[in-house]
Amino acid sequence: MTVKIVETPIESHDLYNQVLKDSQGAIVTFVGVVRDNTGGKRTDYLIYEAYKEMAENEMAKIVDEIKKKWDIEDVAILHRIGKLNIGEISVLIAVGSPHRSEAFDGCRYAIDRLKEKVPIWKKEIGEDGETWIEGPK
Amino acid sequence: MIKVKVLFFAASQDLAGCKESELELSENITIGEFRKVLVSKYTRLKKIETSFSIALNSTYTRGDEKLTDGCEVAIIPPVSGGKGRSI
Repeated sequence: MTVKIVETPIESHDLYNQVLKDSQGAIVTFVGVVRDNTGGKRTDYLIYEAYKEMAENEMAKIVDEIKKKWDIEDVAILHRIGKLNIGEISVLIAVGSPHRSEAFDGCRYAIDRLKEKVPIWKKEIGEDGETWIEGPK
Repeated sequence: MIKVKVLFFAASQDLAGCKESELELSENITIGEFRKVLVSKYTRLKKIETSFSIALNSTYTRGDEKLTDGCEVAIIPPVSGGKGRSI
């Protein structure tokens, strides 16, 4: 199962087949894309940076957490780093499960945890110059 | 003395002025003590002193872990996920 930091473009269907199997009744995917503004201020592009080895370890831990919490066996996560233009995909998560409720819950959990603890940072370049974006502590 | 590799990411990299460095430290130094040494050496890190985490060999720390010769520590500023903000 893929849990990976990549430097090449991500397509929204990239993980679909990985989490699809005959016992699944639902697949939920989350696609994070680069927005053209923050709070109304223009964004030109983003630079993502990761502590790659640790980021992949932390993403694998999130997958383990999901498998323990729900009846879910199949979770895959891709996160892109480097320069990303408006509309490009920064993160893709796919969760397959026998029933939709777990798939939605698992996918929501995956993106929330990823943003909380996986060492990936983004710098916005736009009308305010360059800014590293900090999330909640 | 022990030698450790220090990695700086994102805002900490801008403030430290480098991506990585090697530091000589006293034996048995803890992560909590290392944090003070680091900020006294790279004074501009004071700006984010209360918000960065430290990873030891790719794992988050609490503060009481001890650094060992040849280990890798990383300065982890708050990660990019503003809840409800970045996506």
